[in-house]
Amino acid sequence: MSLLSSVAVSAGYGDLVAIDNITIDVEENSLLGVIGPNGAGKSTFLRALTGVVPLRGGQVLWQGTDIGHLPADARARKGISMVQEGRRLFPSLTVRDNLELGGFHASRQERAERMTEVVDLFPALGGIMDRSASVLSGGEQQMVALGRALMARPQCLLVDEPSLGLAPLIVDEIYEALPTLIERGMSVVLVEQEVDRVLEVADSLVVLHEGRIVYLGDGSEFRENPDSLAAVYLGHALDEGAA
Amino acid sequence: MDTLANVIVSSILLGGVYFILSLGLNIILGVLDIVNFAHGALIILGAYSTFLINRALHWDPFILVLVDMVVVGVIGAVLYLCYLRFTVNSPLVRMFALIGFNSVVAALLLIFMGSDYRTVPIDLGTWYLGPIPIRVTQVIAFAFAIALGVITIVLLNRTKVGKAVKAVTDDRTSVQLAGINDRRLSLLAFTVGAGLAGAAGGIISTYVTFGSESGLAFAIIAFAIVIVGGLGDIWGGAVASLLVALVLTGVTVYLSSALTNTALFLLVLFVLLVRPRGILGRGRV
Ligand SMILES: Nc1ncnc2c1ncn2[C@@H]1O[C@H](COP(=O)(O)OP(=O)(O)OP(=O)(O)O)[C@@H](O)[C@H]1O
Ligand SMILES: [Mg+2]
Repeated sequence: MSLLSSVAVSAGYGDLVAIDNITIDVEENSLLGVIGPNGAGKSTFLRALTGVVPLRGGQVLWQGTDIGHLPADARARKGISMVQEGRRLFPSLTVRDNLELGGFHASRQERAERMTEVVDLFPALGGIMDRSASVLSGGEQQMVALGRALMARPQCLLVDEPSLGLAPLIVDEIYEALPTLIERGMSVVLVEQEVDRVLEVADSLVVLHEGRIVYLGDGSEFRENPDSLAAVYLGHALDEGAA
Repeated sequence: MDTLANVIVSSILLGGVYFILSLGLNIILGVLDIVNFAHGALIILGAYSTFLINRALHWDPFILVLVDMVVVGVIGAVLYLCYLRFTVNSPLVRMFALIGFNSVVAALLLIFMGSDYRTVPIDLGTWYLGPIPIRVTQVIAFAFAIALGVITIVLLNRTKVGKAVKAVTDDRTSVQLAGINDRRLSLLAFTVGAGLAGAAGGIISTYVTFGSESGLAFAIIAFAIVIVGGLGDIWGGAVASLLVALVLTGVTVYLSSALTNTALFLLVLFVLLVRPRGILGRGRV
């Protein structure tokens, strides 16, 4: 049984159907990469999994049980954390308070332990704990956002475009943390525009185009033949595009 | 000279009361994004709660402030649970519901309490600060208001739940994604906001006379303070309370009490023009 699955999931905004009939499994202890052009529906897919947008159809299964009707906070308490596009910190709070709210339901002692773990993962956070989250650099923001999500000690972490707008060195630092998380037994769903980065770390890969799946596999085709990816991005199925 | 000193001292004392008058409105606006048009009704319910219990049981009006807070907090919770939480998707319906609540409260008060203006009998004498006379009840009212305000702010800034409430103001989705039940935080914020409005009503009942329709006048002052201070900005609200008290007292003393509301509207317009995000520039637009 997969840890988290979407079964024929559709979601949208107003009259717009942003994702349609998406069926994907997230396996335990693995990293699923989700790529696709702007507006493909990547973020909407994550929002549908976490309950930030309601489902228009289909099911979200958590260890085989349908959680598609649960509100976002209840799904989060099951063990799903998400880092949203744009980081979305609490600007009126300090870095420490941002992190602590991530571990809202843990005991004080447990929270302290997790905090140490997060700082081990992102040492840069150690020096800015008492700074307001409204004055951080993009890289610091991303680390706080990831740290806040990890404070819940999730089984499944969804991350939406962590590299967006960051200097390559900072992105390296963030990507270095991902294997550690998998080692610890977590599953990660990583949405990205930087395809090369995703191919490096992903165990499996989904390409979305206009709200539909146009590729689902382990990504080896693209590692061997990077040009084939361009065709998929344009919405062609792999065989016709590569031909 | 004495008059000026008098105006300043009275304004400071009144400013403390105005702060508590606006605090609940500000919290509800900040956390729930609800413009609480029922604020005036909640205040006046607090005032009548003090009046009625004091008349029946002769409890000290300042002890009753705490009772008002609980009574009106519970009324607020019921209002939220029975009615407001079903209107989240329609601000217009919600506005209508809240204004309706105001009318119902005013009508019920008129029916059961009549059209008489009420005073809570309390006189603890007068102190003199040099030549300036200060009513002791006003000093206690000020102290009570400031203490309640400070306690609220400390709870909001120092406790885990308080921080979560602030976080909802920043980004409700991120709060949900942290596994925190934001609906409960909303209920809490509305209950506390309503309770503070009740406490404000209790405090103000020791200050001025009031009738079944007085809620509107208090609400107008509270709304002016929230706009002048910046929407959702609690410290801005504190500064604005003092400013509004100064303007209202000054206009009453130097011009005419008939002009107080006009002065209030001019002040609000002026602040909106020069500092649209409130006096400290930190409010929402
Ligand atoms: N909050 C919203 N309200 C209305 N439409 C939206 C909203 N968010 C996204 N959309 C629309 O839904 C579609 C899918 O958007 P989504 O953000 O999921 O794409 P994406 O793949 O994450 O794109 P990007 O790479 O730019 O982040 C787009 O057409 C977008 O315009
Ligand atoms: Mg996106």
